[in-house]
Order: sequence, then structure tokens, then C-alpha cells
Amino acid sequence: MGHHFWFSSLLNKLLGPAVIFVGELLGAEFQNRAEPIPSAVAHLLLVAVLLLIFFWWLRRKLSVDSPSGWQHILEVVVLGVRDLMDSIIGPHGRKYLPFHISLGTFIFLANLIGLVPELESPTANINVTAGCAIIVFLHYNWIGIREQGLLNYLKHFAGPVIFIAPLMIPVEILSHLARPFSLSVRLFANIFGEDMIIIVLTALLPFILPLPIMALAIFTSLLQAFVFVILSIVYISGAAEHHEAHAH
Amino acid sequence: MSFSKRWIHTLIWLTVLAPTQVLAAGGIESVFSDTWLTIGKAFNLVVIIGILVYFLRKPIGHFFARRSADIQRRIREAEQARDAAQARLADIQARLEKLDTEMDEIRRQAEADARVEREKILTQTEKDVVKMRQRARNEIESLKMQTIRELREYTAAKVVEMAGDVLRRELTTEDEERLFNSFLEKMGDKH
Repeated sequence: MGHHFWFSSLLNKLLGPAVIFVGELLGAEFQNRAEPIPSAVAHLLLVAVLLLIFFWWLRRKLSVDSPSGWQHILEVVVLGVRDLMDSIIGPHGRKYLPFHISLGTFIFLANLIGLVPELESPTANINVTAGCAIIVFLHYNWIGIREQGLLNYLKHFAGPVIFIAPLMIPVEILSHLARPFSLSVRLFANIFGEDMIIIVLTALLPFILPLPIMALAIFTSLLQAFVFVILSIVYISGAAEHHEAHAH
Repeated sequence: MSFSKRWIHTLIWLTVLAPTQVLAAGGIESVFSDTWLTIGKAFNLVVIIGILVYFLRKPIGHFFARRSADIQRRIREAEQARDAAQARLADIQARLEKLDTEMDEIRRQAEADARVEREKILTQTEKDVVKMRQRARNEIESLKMQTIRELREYTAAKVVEMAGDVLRRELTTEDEERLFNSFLEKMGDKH
């Protein structure tokens, strides 16, 4: 899309030359030297900075006896995800809670920010969703290797019986590789589709007509973040379960 | 066709026709450049936030209030439990501090009791010793008297027996006749 978002333009104006300088030092080539920071990256950084500011502000206001509304909401979210992780992974999975809360809040805000005029959802860009999905992929594989050791972790790719290993290994590898693909495409397609429908409906009739889709977009923003997080939890649980199964 | 169905059909048709309209208008970029898009998005966002606030303010407010009350209750319970635990701790510490004094007191009391008991036992033992000595003396005296009596009886019996032997050995027939006559005379004198 050729639309210039104000935040992207501002960031390119402020940091563009520095990015080009550092990028060229590292041997990168910029096709668009006027805007070296892509819009999705600019908005991704905006979401990250907004979240940092929000959590910094909220942290200063934390109270045990009289929590604010935001603290209530965040506590409900954190406790909900924690209980979910307890039921799927078990209590030992709580060490992965900060990762999932960070991931979930980032995706939720990234999904939602596209509803604000002159801002773009970073998750409407496949590169961003693929980035998140690859992080999840590396994360759960790293957990599996760390908890079981490389050899034991790779063993479960061969399946329970050795003579079906030639069949199981390609299937397992494909199934694992499909995970980041499905994660990234699902999130990207949903958010991109929603944003496009909202833009098109707004173009047709700027007022009222896009409201139902916008309401739906708020709901799906939450739902997609939840789906992304729960799938990540399930993948980690799979890696941990193999470990327990081998141990028994 | 009901109003809601008509609304849905209109929405579907608009959604289907929208891309063609956009393309006819000169592509998606021309749509983006439209100021109305920004104004429309801002308006719709404000409306949707307004609707959400209108419908969710009360239930969310109630939820927060309930949760706050629950948190307050749990804090109060925790404070009460903490106070009770602190009171118990203070009590135990006070007891531990008093323990040395109490132990000294108990030791002193036990020593005093032991002294009294010792005196009592000594006095009683002395009394018992005197009693036993007296009883032994009485028994010895009684045994002595009994022995003397038995010796006297034995000596008397022996004397009679020996006198009988002497008489049997020394007495002749003439002596027996004389004694018999003398006895008869004495009997005759009496009658």
C-alpha cells in the first residue's frame, strides 16, 4: 500500500538517515531510501513503546489494597493465562508466563491499533506475524531441547516405534514447520482482511457502516491474540509432555 | 423481508461491490488519500468507544467493585491471621524469656522441698530407730526371762529325778518298812 502513515513518516524523518548509515555499514541495501523504516516496523515499534510506557505507568500505580481499573484488568488477564498454563502445561510452566503475557498484549495492541485513524496494524503485515510465529517456534523448540537434551528431543520425531521412523520423521518435521506458517498466516489474514474491509466500507460510507465490522475487529483482535498465545502454550506443553513421557 | 435481514443483505452487497467501486475510483491509494477516510475512522472509533463505554461501564464497574471488595476482605483476613500469628510469637518469646527465671524458681523450690523431705525422713528414721531399739530390748528381756524360767524348771526336774535315783539306789528293805510304819503311825495319829 502506498499510503504514508504519519507515524511512519515521522520516524523515518527522525531515524531514517541513522538507519541507512548503520544498515549500509552492515552491508544492507535500501530500495526505498526515502523511507528506510517500513510502515509495519514503525508501527511495531510504536506498539512496543506504547506498551512499555503503559506498563511503566501502571507499575508506578500498582496497589495491593485498592487496585485501579487497569490493574484489575491486567490481574484478571495474568491470572487467566496463568490458570490456562497450569491446566495445559502444569505448574512448572509458570516460568513461561511473562513471555506469553508479553506476546499476547503485544499482538492484541498491534491488532487493535489499526482502528485508530492514520495508524496501521503491524499484524496486518505478514513479516510481523511471521516474526512472532518464528519466535514462538524457536522458543518452544529451545524449551524442548533445554528440558530433554538435543538427542532426546529429536528422538520423539521418530515416533513411538522405530520401524515407522522413516515415515514419522518427515511428517513430524512438516507438522512442526507448518506451525509457524499457520500461526503467521492466520493472524495476518484475519487482521489484514478486517482492516481492508473497514477501509473499503469507510471508503463507501465513512460513517456508521463500518461500525459492526469495527466492533467485530475489537473482538477478533482479542480472539486472535488469545489463539496465538494458547497455541504457543500448547506447543510448549507438547515439548514438555515428551520429556515427561520419556522420563516415565 | 425483515429489517435486520434487509440490513444484512445490504451489508453483504456493499462488501461485495466495494472493491469494484474502489477500483473504479482509481485504486485503493486514492481511497487512502481521502480525508474522509480519516474523519470517518475517527468518528466510527469514537462511536464504538462510546457504545462500549455505555454498555460495559456498569457491568465492568460492578466487577471491579466486587473484586476490590473481595481483595479487601482477603487482606483483612490475612491481617487478622498475621496479627494472631504475631501475638502467638510474642507469647512464645515471652515464655522463652521467662523460662530461665521459671527454671531457677523450680530448682529452688525443688531444693527446699528436698531439704524439708530430708529432715522429715531423718526425724522419722531416728524415731523408728529408737522404737526398734526399744522393741529389741523388750524382746531380749522377754527371751531372757523365758530362758531363766525354762532353766529353773529343767533344774528342778533334774533335781527330783536325781533325788529319785539316789533314793532308789540307797534305800533298803528295812528302810522301806520303817518308812512305811512311820507313815502308818502318822496316819493313825491323824485319825
